Amino acid sequence: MVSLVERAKSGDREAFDRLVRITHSDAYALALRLTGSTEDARDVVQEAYLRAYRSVGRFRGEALFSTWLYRIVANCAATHIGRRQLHRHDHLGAHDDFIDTRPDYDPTLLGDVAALRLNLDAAIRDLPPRLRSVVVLRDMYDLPHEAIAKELGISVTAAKVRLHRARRRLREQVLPLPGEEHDHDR
Amino acid sequence: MIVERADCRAVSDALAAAAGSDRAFGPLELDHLTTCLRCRAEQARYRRLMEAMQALREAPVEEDSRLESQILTTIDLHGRLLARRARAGVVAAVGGIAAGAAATAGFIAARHRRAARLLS
Repeated sequence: MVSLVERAKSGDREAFDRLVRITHSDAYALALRLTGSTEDARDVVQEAYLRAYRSVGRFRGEALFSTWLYRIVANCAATHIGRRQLHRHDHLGAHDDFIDTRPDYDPTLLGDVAALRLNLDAAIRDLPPRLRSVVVLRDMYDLPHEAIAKELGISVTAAKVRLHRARRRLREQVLPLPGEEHDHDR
Repeated sequence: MIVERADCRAVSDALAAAAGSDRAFGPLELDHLTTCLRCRAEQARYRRLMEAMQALREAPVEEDSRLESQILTTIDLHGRLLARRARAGVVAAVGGIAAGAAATAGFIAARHRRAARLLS
């Protein structure tokens, strides 16, 4: 991977194409988790690789290539989501009430790891984009707070506040404490 | 003597922050956690949540078989666009130089004609 990146940096198109082949599934998975839509994820990934291609010469190698690419994907996703919300006029604020519409939601299944993942995946998709972005980038992809804040165009403090709020929502959603289950039936 | 204690609400906020090792617990919060079963249950749930988040990252995502070729095509199109712009730039530069040369030649010819008229 390192030699491919070095070759791509010096303008070797074939090397960049190979990097695309190696990394695009992971980049797509991240884009899908950030946008919650296959169509949007496809657009975001194409835009991200185009940006990566144009700026790979400036990649300094301080982080892994994949981490550098995740940051570009995160930035493209944030732009894409912002543009989409502007057009649809259906802004989802952090304080919007969550309504669980999944028909198969059953807390008794939570002991099962597969069911937990399934519910968690659905709960992440149902988060407002501003909360979803930070929790995915931090807790799934291990990006530092500073990098997340920079790519999303927010302060580090705001990124942390959103992260903790997102974690709390997810925890209440998929692993509720006794007495919390009914909060989601509203 | 008044013993200060953290309440469940404050500890609950700390649990969300500490779940991903972003923050360590203070002594009051730790003291609360040793005695409050509800907060310990919440802490255990956060731990499971973090494990599930990491596991979810490894879970396969249904691939889009056309994506790779679409990415490469996008980069190709961008490259062609840049090349076309560069060619257009060269053509414009060559045209500019030719126009400049023609204007200079015209100016010199006019001066020669005027000089010839004055001499005759």
